Amino acid sequence: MSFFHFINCFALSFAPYFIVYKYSGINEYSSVWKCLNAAVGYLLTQLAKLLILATFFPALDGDGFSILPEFLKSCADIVDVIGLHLLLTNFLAGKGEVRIVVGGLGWGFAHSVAHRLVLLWVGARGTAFSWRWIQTSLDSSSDLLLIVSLACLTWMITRSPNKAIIVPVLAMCTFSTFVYQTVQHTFSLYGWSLLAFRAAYSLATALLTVVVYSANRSSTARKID
Amino acid sequence: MQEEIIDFFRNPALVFYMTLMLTVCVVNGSQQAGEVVETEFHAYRIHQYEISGNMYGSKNYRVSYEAVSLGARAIRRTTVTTWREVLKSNVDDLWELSTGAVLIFIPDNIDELNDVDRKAFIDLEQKLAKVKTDLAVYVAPYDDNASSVISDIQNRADNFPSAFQALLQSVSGNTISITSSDSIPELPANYKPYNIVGRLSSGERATPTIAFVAHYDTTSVIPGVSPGADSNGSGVVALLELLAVLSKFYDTPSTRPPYNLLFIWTAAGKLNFQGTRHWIEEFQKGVDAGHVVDSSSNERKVFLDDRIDLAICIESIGRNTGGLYMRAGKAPSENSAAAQLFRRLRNIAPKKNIELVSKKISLTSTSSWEHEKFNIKRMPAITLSTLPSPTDPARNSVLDLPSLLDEDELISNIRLIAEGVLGYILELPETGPSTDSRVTSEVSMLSKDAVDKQRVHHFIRQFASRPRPVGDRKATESIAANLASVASGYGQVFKSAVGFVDSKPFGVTQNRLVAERVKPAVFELVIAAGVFAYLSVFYFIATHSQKSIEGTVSVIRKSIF
Repeated sequence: MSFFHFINCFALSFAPYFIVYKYSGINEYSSVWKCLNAAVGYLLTQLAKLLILATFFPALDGDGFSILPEFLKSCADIVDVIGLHLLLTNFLAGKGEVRIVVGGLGWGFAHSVAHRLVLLWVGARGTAFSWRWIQTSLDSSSDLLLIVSLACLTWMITRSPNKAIIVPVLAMCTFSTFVYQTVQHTFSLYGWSLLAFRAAYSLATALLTVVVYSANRSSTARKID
Repeated sequence: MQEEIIDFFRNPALVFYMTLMLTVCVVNGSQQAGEVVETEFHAYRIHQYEISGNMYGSKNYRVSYEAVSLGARAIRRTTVTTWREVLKSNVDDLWELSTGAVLIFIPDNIDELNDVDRKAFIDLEQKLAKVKTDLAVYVAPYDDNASSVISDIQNRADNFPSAFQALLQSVSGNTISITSSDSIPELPANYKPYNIVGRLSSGERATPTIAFVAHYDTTSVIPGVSPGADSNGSGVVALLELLAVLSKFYDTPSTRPPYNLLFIWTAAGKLNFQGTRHWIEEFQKGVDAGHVVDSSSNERKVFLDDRIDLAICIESIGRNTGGLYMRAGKAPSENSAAAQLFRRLRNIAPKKNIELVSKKISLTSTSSWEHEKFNIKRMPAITLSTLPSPTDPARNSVLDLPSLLDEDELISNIRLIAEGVLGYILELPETGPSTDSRVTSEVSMLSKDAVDKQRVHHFIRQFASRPRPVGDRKATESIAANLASVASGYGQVFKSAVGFVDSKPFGVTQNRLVAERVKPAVFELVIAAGVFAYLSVFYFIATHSQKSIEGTVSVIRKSIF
């Protein structure tokens, strides 16, 4: 990967977070330090998750793919929801919507750094051109959608009277990694097709979240009325 | 603000964060499967050597050029092609280029070529043997990766019907860059392969010596792949087996023949017999010096009271070509050792077509047979070989494979030589026990199984089945050490380091070539434009997100709930 290519991939990975922060108007309500709070929250949550994985699934790197163990492993992702919930309720201030976006942004940014930055850095050594880096970087946008949705749903789950419609969508968010892996192995999707699937899945989740959110809003509004 | 930043870095969480980041990356990195962008070839360089100031073969070994097909004669490029194309087309002007490289794919199953292909391959070898070039020339066995690389290069070279397609290709097409990845150092200036000398001593002073000589290195146009089973694996094996057979006679003083026997495995025989020349010089120095050698230098002590009665050089006796040729510098006189041995060989094996070929040696040009080195120094010597001509293509060919070795022929030749020499040194009657032609009983000094089939087979596996070019330091050193250790089981063994005088070997007989698919630099600009467009769309969505989401929410609220 040439230096230019590295810059391209870097921009593709991290510019969306910057743009969302800068131009969605969220910077008027909250400082960048709150986002960093969320990033630290992400770190601690991942640490807890790793500890759980190490304790209950010590043979992490077995060969092949089988549904049930993978599903059990991805149950550890529920820790994400708990961590995000603690973060939103205890460490961020302001209106619910602001907390959701700030928490989601910081969380997503930390996720993106952890999953992409070093990978790109290491990958930059090879001289061969590969679409892989572009694909990895593009994924960061779908992750952003998914994580903001996750934050929104986590916020609503404790505050909404009708949990029945939130839980399935929240499950969709939480087990997204599991879904990706399963789809990848059963339909042997790689490269662009996998990327397209992830984008579609994230978009669907985000839309459903908006629907759930409006339902929630209407019910609270009715209560106020 | 500053305080806040510093506080942030004081945060112990940061350390956690870094650790975690690395963990996640390592775990995730291994999962990513992608298209193959890097292919590795184990490639063998064609020969490079220098004899009396003239350089032959490929002078370079570094490769880091873009790949092109055979048709393009471009400087600073790697020409990638197959051996059949090289045979078909005229490539003389390719070798004239000053920088660049050539990668030729040869069949991966050289052992299984049919007769037509075998002939074609020999043609290729002869074509390559004449090459003198500044390019780095490699060959690699053909495989699936090779075919994909070649087809990629072909696609790029094809002409396009429209200018637009050509433009598209030049912007986005894959180019393949080939790099040599092993940085093997050149042979050091003080590199000296060893002559291995085994000796069976008569135990008496001033007894004459018979020397058996065979060079143990191999070569061909592609030194890294030629095991040289017949030339001169068969010679190495024959000497070992002769040593094993004849050493029995030297076990007890009562049976010891009145001759010393020397078994000399010489190094760098393919480079104008450097090892042989070196040994002769050392030998003559030892004789001329008049016995004044202290006991510490064993090497010379051997030669103290030796007089070479005959040096028997052995090369390529492992293939049935319908004859065994005894080559000499001039026709030997009636009573010379060579003539006696010749008569004996003929009497022992009357059915075999044994011929004496005498050719005057040339002092100026390179020697074609090993005995000529002895003849130049006026020492009696002959070469035994089944090859009809010194320029026989089978002599230095990649196709000189162990599977083509005729073990029975080799064993019968070894036995014949052993019998002939034994008869000579024990002074048995030349024509057998009786001069009466009616007596036809077979007489032999050796028992039926004296030349051990199993042992010969083992020697072939150990010494005649792997490439051992003098340029490959590791292979040369290992073969010399193995020879010395096996020979020391039968007799005294000495080593001596051989310097190169009128020739020079070169290293790097093999290398790893990495082919990488790369995009042209312009392509990065195209991607940058794409990235910019994508981010602009993102910007547009972000600036309108609040409004649009609120709008959507109210629409949904009104319409559904």
